[in-house]
Amino acid sequence: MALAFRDNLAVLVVVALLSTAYIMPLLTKIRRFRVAEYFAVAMLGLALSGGIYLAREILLHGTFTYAVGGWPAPWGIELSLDAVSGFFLITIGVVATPIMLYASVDLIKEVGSRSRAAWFLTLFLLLVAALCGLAVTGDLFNIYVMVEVATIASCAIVAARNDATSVEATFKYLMLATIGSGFVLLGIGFLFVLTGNLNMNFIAQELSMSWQKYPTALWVCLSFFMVGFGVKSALFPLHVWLPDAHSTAIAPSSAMLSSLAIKGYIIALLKVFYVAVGAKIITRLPITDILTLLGMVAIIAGALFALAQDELKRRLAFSTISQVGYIFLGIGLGNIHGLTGTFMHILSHATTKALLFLAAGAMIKHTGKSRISEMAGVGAAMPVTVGAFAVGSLSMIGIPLFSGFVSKWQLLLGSLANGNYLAVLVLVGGSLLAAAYLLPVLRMAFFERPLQKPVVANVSYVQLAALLFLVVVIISVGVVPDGVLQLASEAATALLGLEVLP
Amino acid sequence: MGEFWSRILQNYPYVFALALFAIGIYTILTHSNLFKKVIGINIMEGSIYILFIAAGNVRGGVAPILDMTDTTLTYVHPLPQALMLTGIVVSVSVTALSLALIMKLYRFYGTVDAKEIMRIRTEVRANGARIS
Repeated sequence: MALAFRDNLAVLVVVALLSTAYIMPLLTKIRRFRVAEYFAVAMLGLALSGGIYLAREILLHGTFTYAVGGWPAPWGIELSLDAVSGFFLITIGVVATPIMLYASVDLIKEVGSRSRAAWFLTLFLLLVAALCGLAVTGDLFNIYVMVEVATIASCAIVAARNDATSVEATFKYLMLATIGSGFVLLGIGFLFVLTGNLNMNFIAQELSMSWQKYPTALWVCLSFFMVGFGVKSALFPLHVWLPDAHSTAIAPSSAMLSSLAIKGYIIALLKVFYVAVGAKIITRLPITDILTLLGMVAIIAGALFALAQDELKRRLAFSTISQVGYIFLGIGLGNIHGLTGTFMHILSHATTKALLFLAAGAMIKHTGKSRISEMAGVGAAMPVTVGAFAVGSLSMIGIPLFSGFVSKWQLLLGSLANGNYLAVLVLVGGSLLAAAYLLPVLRMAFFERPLQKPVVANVSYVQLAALLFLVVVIISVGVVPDGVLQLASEAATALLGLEVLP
Repeated sequence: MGEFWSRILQNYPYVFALALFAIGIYTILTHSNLFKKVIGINIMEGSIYILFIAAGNVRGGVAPILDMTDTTLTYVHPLPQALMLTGIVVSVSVTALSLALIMKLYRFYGTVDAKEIMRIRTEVRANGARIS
């Protein structure tokens, strides 16, 4: 009984969110808009508790699979739930719920009209459902479909405000993201031709026997995946769409895209590289060295670009490029600490960047100023919001007792284990640069004397609650990381195919 | 003729597909007309359909509908064809979304040329005004 519930919950998380997404416009027609919004928040909360339950089950009883529609593996689509899925489901729930709560306060005013707001709810839930799908799926073509749903939904929520700049940014994003999915599909085609399978476990079995016969073809195929997912998750030289798209969207969209959407593609990349192809093969190919190198370049270059921006949201968008570099660096390191660091950074960057974007959105909305040089005195006008921004900044820099420290510490251990001292330098340098581009915002907001006396802004209590929820998550992960860290290292162990450590 | 070229000739659909893929990406990245970019996307995705269908093809195979009376028939692989139906649906929705965005861009800027849009945007930003 309990097992049947657990197995069905895996697919229920995705299906429930998908069906909620499509009844949103209908619900706003027959009930008050508030009802639809709270229903969406409640569904996301349920998804979060489902994720926590699944992660607990996976930790206690090991991984399990679910055959969709009752068709067993080589013919049907198989969902395979391991610690990676559990970890990412929890991340999605923890971040998406407060973002939705924050958005619910003034969504109609932000996007222009009631019907647009209803469709925004649909797209938001579709994006979350697609990300959950990426977390649980064990089938390559299913990954492609979920990636496409996520791409189209995230393009559409960039254009939610319907003004000239955001529509232009959306078009640029859509073109580059479609090139990315073209590469991904080509890579899937290559793997299908090489192995005759689309199920990742079957591909792994097939490749472990036969990959030495066609190393070049496999290498080409993996480069397709790297470029495809690299474009979508804004790996450094392929990041050109990100600053425009993330800085012109409304605050909840930016928070959602920067914190979760790009992570979904990274999880897909991890699954293809470490589950379908397998750690044994990946670490023998030069692709991990390339990922390490690109990650290091991204950390430094993204941070330098961020320093040059005066617009607050653009600075945060470039900071995302730098932080994605940390995640790819961990993937490239390819050892247990590196991958644990990758997972921890996925969680800590998701919570932190969501907090920063939401707080920045509130600051910009209530003061009407979007440039950092104009933000003098904002700290006195809205102390709680800017205080939350300060917590986010400290976590982003990697100060101990905040979640950013835990992930960067793991990455540091991973670099030392590989003897990669350049990576150690880059990690420390990236943190210093993060301090250099985030602390001036706080100095401006708290310590600069404003031209006129600041008016105390009334940020709604619901939005403050959403910000405080993220603050609590960041600090509690930073102070007591044990449980999350165990889940993350379990996920890393599962990817590397190691025996579970006692 | 070397062995390499004879194998290329035998597998010409793959070469054709990859050439089309390159043409599609070249079109997206180099043309500034937004409609041509959308056409480039469709060329690129079409090339992937060719690759998949060619991978599932068996020379002399027939459509995969099981015929109990004739056991000598060989069938083509049905899976890639089913997958590419999904692929076509995805590509149609991407095309629809991008055409809708082009319509909006034309309303805002009065042009469908990416360079022209960039020029207008920098001009307006320099004047400190917002585009309505």
